[in-house]
Amino acid sequence: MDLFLNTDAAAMSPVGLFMQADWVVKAVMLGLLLASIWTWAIIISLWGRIGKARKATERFEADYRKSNDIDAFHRLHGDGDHPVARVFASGVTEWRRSTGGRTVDREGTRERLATSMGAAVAHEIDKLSDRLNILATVGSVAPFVGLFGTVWGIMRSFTAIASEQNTSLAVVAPGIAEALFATAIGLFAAIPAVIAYNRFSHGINKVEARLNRFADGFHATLSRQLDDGPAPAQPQHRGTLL
Amino acid sequence: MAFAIDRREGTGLGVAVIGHVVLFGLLSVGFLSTPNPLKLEPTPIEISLTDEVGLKSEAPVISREAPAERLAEVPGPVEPDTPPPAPIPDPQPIARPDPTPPKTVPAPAPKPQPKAEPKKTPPTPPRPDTKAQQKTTASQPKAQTPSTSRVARPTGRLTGIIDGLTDQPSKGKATTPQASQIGAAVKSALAAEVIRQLRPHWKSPTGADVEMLRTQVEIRLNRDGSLASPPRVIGQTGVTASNRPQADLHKERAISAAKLAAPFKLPAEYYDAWKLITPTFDRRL
Repeated sequence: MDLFLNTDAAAMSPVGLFMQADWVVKAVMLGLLLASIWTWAIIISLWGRIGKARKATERFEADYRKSNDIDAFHRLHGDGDHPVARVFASGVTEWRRSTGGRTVDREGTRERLATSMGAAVAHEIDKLSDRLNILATVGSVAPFVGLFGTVWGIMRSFTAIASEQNTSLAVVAPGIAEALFATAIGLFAAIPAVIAYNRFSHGINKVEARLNRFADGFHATLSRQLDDGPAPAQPQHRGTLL
Repeated sequence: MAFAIDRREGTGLGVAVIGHVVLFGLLSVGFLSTPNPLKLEPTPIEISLTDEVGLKSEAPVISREAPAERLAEVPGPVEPDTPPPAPIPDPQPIARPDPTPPKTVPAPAPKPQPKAEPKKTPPTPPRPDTKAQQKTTASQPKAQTPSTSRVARPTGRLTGIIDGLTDQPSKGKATTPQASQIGAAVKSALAAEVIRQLRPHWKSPTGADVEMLRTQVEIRLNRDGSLASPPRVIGQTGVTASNRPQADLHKERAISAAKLAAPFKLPAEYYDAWKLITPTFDRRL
């Protein structure tokens, strides 16, 4: 196979098609290419992040089920750099703050615990789905941008026909090919973006549901502890979570 | 915070950039491009424009020169279709004035005796001596005629077949063939030449159905190619409701094309054929 840079448009070479295009179409193509690169960067990073969050959650829950002492567990795993650990840490922090005083308001403590852990879950989900809106934007807008480039390029080739008064296919075809290439790049950027958006929103929803379940279970454990002791400074885990 | 790129996103960005560069690079170096095995480029064909040629008379040129004289008043006796006489050792077979094969008539051997009186010699003398024969040919050119007239007959021999032809230029003075002699090929070549000279000055109006309009214009020409009278329209066909607005413009442009194209450069020897031309203008001419 001989490697040579194919710059003629007739050979379906992207470089050749790009070089022959109008500057508007060139700008459209460049923008769509950047959008595609950014989309794939987000896809790769989100993939890793969601997968890591899911695995960390599973491992954390397994460890949590096995341990008896919440305080000891918090010392061991409370500073983990993943969403579940942060939700757990926020719950424990709120527990300590609420029960550290002389009198313990049980109802107020329950409410604060729920609010605190709910906020932690929401914050984690926000951080996870930060780039998801970019995927949605690229997926919905890139075909239109590509279509704009195509319309512009076809208008230009029609004016070329009008000025040359020659309707042969050799005059029309290169302009239309380079114009259609803009739509091709738009679809090239949009299709992975749409697929990834759907996939990742599903994945993030699952992570969110899991975090919420963990938070609810943890909240139930702490609530039981509140009922058990008059002023329990150290919550005791009974191993009946989840 | 919204656009801060953490380590994981940096990795993703790097991988995405590398992936795009590799993909477009592969597409650009012809990794997936199909070669053209059929070689569909059309091979050039040599063509010639027939408008440019054909301005020569196709009619045969009548020679004005009288044909060469037949020198023989007396054609020799008709020879039967016998095989040609056996070759005899003759020093001058062509110039040999021999009306009868010497083989068949061996008897007139004594006849050469009347060589003294050269008046009677022509039909008879089979003379072996060249000197005497040259003398007779010089003195009496008529003595040779029997041989030329004889070889013109269908004896199967080719000798003398070009007798009477000449390579002298024709003495004829007339250059113009008469009108009846101008052949159809010449006429069509003239028509093509007229069209060819009209075409640069003809611009058809544009509009709906304008290709159906045909305007015939009568052009009378002088011998030098200039217009003898203003050209006039003698007919127009193909007028429909949709191209009626263009019909008058079509006529006008046809007449102006004829005026602009004058003087025509046409071969003067065919003036009879082009002193009145009636080209028909259509969209393409």
